[in-house]
Order: sequence, then structure tokens, then C-alpha cells
Amino acid sequence: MNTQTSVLNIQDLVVDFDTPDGVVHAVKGVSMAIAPGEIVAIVGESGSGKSQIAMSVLGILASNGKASGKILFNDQDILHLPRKELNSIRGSKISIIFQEPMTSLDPLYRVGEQIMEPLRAHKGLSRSEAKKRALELMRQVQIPDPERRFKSFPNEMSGGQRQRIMIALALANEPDILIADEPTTALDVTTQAEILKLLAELNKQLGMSIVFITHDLGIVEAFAERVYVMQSGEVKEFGSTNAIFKTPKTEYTKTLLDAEPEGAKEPVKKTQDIVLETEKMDVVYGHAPRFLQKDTRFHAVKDTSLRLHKGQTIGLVGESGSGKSTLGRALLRLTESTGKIVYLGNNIDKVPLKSLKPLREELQMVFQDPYGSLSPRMTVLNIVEEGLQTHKPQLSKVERQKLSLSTLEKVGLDPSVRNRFPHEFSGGQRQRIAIARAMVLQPKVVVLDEPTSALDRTVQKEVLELLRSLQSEFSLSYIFISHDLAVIKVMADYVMVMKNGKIIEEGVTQEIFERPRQNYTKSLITSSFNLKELLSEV
Amino acid sequence: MLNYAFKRILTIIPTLFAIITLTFFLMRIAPGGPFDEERPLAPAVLENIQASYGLNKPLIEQYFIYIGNLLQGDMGPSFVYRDKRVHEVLAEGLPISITLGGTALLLALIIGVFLGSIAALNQNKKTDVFIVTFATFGITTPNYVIAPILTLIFALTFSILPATGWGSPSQMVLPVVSLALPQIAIVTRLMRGSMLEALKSDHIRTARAYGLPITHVVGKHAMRSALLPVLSYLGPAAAALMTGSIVIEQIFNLPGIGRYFVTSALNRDYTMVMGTVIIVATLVLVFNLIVDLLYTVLDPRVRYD
Repeated sequence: MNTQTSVLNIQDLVVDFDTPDGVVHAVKGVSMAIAPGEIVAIVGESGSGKSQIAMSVLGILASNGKASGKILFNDQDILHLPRKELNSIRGSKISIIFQEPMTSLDPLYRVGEQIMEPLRAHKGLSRSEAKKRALELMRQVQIPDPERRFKSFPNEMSGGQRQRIMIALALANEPDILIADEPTTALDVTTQAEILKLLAELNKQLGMSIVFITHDLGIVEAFAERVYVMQSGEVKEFGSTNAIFKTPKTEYTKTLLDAEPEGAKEPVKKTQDIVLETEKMDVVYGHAPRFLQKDTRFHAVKDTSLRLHKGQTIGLVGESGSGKSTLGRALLRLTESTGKIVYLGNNIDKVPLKSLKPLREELQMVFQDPYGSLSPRMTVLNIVEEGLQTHKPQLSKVERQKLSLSTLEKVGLDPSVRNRFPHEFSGGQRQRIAIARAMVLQPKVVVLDEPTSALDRTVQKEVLELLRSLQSEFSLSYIFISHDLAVIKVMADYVMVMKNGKIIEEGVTQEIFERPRQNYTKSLITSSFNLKELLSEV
Repeated sequence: MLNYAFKRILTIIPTLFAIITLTFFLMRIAPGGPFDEERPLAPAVLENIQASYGLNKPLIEQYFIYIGNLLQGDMGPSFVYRDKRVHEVLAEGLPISITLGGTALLLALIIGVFLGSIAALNQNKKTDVFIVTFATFGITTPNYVIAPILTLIFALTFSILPATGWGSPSQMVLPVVSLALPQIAIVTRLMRGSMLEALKSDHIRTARAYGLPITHVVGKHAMRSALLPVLSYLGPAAAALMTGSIVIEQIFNLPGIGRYFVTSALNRDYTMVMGTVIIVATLVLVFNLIVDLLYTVLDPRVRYD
């Protein structure tokens, strides 16, 4: 592809960040060309520099960042343009949607107002003209009842709707290029499918090029025509999507393609002991109407019964807000609930929290965020041995440390890291530490709340392997909470589908995935696994 | 919103009532009384005077009489300014104190927000360092130091402004500036911090990525987010100005209510103490209410229903 036929041509782009620890080379001489109307994906793991390319194109690098090289938009170098001239291009000819629909919109202004802004700034439309166009755009991105939604504030909308508003904003001036930086990562799978479908339609209708930045190869395969694979600031490989997926040339691309979770879990025998059981569990947040106060009650979990056998993994799936995390916490009595909870034949729902303490070592939890759930001021060894101090006070210091170090080894961490602090580790390593912290107590039940959602795919695969081997070694029972059906499919032998606080469908994994009965389950499955068919309808 | 405002006004009443009750009884626990003088009065005379003010009645009865009068807008006679009622005395000084405090607050807000924004936009450059230095100076220097220095320079040395008195605009300048300076400094620092944070936020990145003019990015989007913490500070600022004005009114010899604060407490002028406490408490409570209501206007996420 030569320069004449490309709308965006990036040549030898270098992005450096000046940090207190020295200069960080985020992008190291990247070149790429985007043709008019083309959908191109930039794939890579976190820290590969893919987002920084987008930031450089729009001139919104962080203040300590410096870009050099050339970024040609219709043969004009826009990298070194003064702000005023750049302002006439960004938001008008090139626009962007970001990953975080929560924070990318100004929370203090109505969404309609925000769509009007680039219209007024670039085209000089009057208020009423801009409003008319904004409503038209909201209709185009399929926001129901745009007249009413025009006056909404971002916090009154769901993540998917906010991302639609962001797209409306991006389309406002009919740009030649739309850069989408992980636009669906923060969304549920069904919402993700809808947004991708919308983008594909808009690409067809308006003929604009789309640069899609993502770490999700499933999306790339279904959505993009060409792919650039990036690793640590460099383009490792590029070509048509088909070619890259069928005949990857570099090792790195192969590992990426290989990183899709695989395997399956055999169902446990019905005769296995029941470890944890609940009946008619309800969790209600908020309070009943009181004097001068409204009813704030919210029924997070409704009438839920669950039976976890020894060695079993129950996969809990559902969209965000469906109550799956609340259920997980309530099972361990970390959240107040009503209904029966039986652990190894003992009723634990009425036991005072204090006398529950001895049981805590057997009922463990691993959280989604490996950054927030480890104390930043404790060393790895302290973090892992802390539980032993409480639950096994009879152990001497030496025994305790020995046990902790062997657990660290078991989760695949070198014991020599014992004196380091959490911030010195990558996300995957941190999640290993969190797992070690749970496992050192030799639990019987572990609630895993989205344990791999914050991790890159290749790392996710390793962590899933680890969880599997720990399960078979200690015949652990897992409650595996995830919105990612691909992970549930390979990890769980029994699946429960949650919606609005209720279990709407449950059964053996294979059965649920092959013969889902509920429409909701069906749409979850299609959005996760048949993205390609869904998009080919466009 | 109206519903919320109404509810908040309703809660002001019991708060105020609690303050009044507490002050009333605390005042009486304190040793001494309004008629203790260096040469003690003859017991019969003292008894007569106390009887005429109703101070010989049981304390609880006095309390209910006071509350009854208060509900009719009468704060009782002053024990020191014997020919006047307390509310008459306060009504003379209150407009002056409010003008002084209000102007200082407005000044602090306008200059503080402006300087803070300029500093944030020029982070770590010379302008920023200069403004931060000024703000640090302003916060650490109490206004009873600033006031005499300003008087020395502008009134005594250069004779540009009058040193004392109240009435003409030129007489307002020195007291208002002395009172406002520490507040300007605090608002500047607050604004600088919140503006820096606002400029780093994702929605500002969006505004920049969409090529909105810089005046728009800063003046509309960043400014509004950055103002929120400053707005929350206005409640405490109003209280600080109220107490600050006690000193300033003394230094510049202004006929506001500040002077009654100290003198009435020292003289055990029971009714006058009650009067000043009620006025100040009401002002602080109302001001906090106004701030909370303004907050809902500025930040749509805050909804009181």
C-alpha cells in the first residue's frame, strides 16, 4: 500500500515518556497505513504501546510524553501541527472513542450538550441546528427515545448507552477516520456485540476507516480486515486478518492465538459430598421507606439455591449488575443475607460472625482486582503468611514461613521474591500472590470473583492452568464468577446463569452451552462465541 | 430539590434550638455575673437589679421566658448597654459585619479561583511557583499581622487609604483585603489542586481529542469540575471570616458585631452573648445550606430526593 491510497500513514513513530525512573520507550519506530473505508485492528497486550499510537495521532499524549516521526493525514503531517490547526482536524476529520465510557464523558453536562459541542466548534452550527443534528446522531447510534435521553447526564445511563453517546460524538462531523481504543472492554458481552455491530454498520454506511485497538483476538477475527500485531512498542507482524489467523509468521502471534482458554472439566459424581449449600437465599441492600426517606431497597439476590459438591466448579455467569458477585460474597457470609447456608452439614447462616472465624480458613476468596486487593505496604511473604498467623497460631515463625514459601512455589513464583512489594509485580504475578494467600490456608471452598478479567489473555491462560492444577491436587471446590463465557466453558462443570438477581437457568456445562433454553443464555452465548456470524449479518 | 431545601430548613430549627439551650446553661455555669464590679454592690441593690431583670427566678423559668421572648423576636435587654435591647444593638452592627465578610468572601473566591487556575495551567513554571509562594505566605500569616502592616504602608506611609472608620468605599479597602488575604490563599491552593486533577481527567482528554478550543476545554469543562471542592470549602470559609472579623473590626475600629463577641462574654452580658451566638450560628447554618444547594446546581450527580 503506498501513501496515495492511504488516509492515515504513520511513519517511524517513536513515543518516549520521561518518568522519574528514566525514559520509557513506549513506541519504537512504528509504521502503518490505513486505507479509506478500511477496518484495521491493532492487537497487543497491555503495555505494548498500541494506545499511545492513538494518543499521538490526536495530540493527546500525557504531558511527559514526546512523539517523533511522521503522522500523515491525507499527506499532511499532523504530528507537529500547532494546536489551533490540529484542533481543526481532531474531532472533525479524525475522532476517537475510548475504553472507559464511564469517565470519558463530562459528568457535569447533559449528554446532548456534549454531542453538540464538536458540531458547534467545527461547523459553527447554531444551537438549534446542532441540537437537531445531535438528536439525529442519537437516533443513528440507536439510543431509544433520544428526545428524553438528550437531557440525561452520563451517570444516568448504562455503560453501553454511554459508549453509544461516545460514538455519536465521534460521528458528529462525519470523520474520515474513527479510532476505537478498546471501546468494548468495559462492557458486557451482549453489549459488546451490539456496539461492534453498530460500528460495522456505520463503517458500511459512512465509509469511514476504523482503527480498532484491542487485546481481544475474537473481536479482531470477526471485525477487522487487516491486523497489526504489536509487542513492546514494535509491530511484530501485519497482514490480512485471514492470513494472520491461518498462518501466523511470528512466535509471538502464535502464542497470542494460542492463548484462548481451552480444555473442559468433567462433571463430578452426584455421590460426592456436598460442601456448601444454600436454600432460598435473598440479599437486600438499602432500607425500607422511613419517615421522609424513600424506599432504597434493592433486591440483589433473589430466592437462590445452590449446591456445591466436593471438587466441583460452579460457574456463575451473568452481566454486570446481575448479582453474581453479591451471591459469591453472601455464600461466605461476607454480605448479610437471609436463607439457609449449610457448610459441611453445619448451618452457618445464623452463627454469629465472630464464631465463624475458625471456618474462614476453609472458605476463601480471590478477587478480580489484583492491584487493589493486596496491601501495598506488605511484602509478598507477609501477605501470604498473614492468614496463618490468625488461623494457625500454633505454628512457629520458621514453620509458617516455610509453608508460605512452598505455597508461593506452588503458584509458580520464585521464593526469592518473598521480600518484594506488590507493585513490583505484573498483574498476573499479583493474581498468583492473591491465589497463594488463599491456598496457604488449605481451603475447601474458594470463591473466585472474576479472577482473570483484569489479565492479558496469555497470562489468563497460565492462571487458569494454575487454578486447575490446585483444584485437582487438593480436591477444591470452586465458585467461579465470570462474565467471560469462554473461561466458564473450560473451567466449570456446572453453570448457573444469573439475571437481575435470579438464577434463570442452570445445568451441566456442556448441556448449557449446547442446548441453552433461555433466550438470555442464548444471546450470551452468541455474543461470546458467534461474533463473526453476528457481524456478517451487517 | 425544593423538597430537600424544605427538609434542610426544618433541620436547622432543632440544631439552632440545641445551640441556644446549650449556650444558655453553659453561660450560667461560668462563674461571675453581669453585675459583678470591682466594688461589690450592696446586697440589697444587687437583689433589686437582679429582680428587675428577672435573674432571681429559677434558672429553668428564666430559660423558658427567654425562649418565649425570642420567639417573638425579642432578645431581651442588654445588661451592659442598659438602655438598649440586644436585637437593636445587633441590628446596628450586623449589616456592617455582613458587608465586610461578604465582600471578603467574594474577593477570596474570585481572586483565588483565578490565581489557582493560572497556577495549575502553568504547573511547575515560574508563574506557578510565584503563586504557590504567595499562597503559602498568605496561609501562614495571620490577619492581625497583615492588617497593621497594610495600615502602615497604605495609610500611614503613603496616606492613600484611611486607617480606620466605616462608611466610604475607601474605608472598606484595608479591612476587606486584610480579612480576605488568608482566604484568597486557601482558595488559591484548593483551586490549583482541583484544577490540576480536573485537567488530568478522562473527559478533559475527550474534550481535547475533539478539538474543542482551549478556552472551552478549561473554562467550561475543567473549571466546573474544579470548582466543586472550592464550593465545599465555602461553608468553613464563611465561619472563618466570621471569627476573623472579630479581630479585624477591633483593629480598624469598625462598628460591626465582632466587638460584642468578646466584650459581652467577658462582661457576662448574658443576653448579648446569646444574641451573638444565635446570629453567628444561624449565618453558618444558612450558609452551609446555600452551599449544599449550590452543589446540586453545579453537580447533577448529587441529587437530594
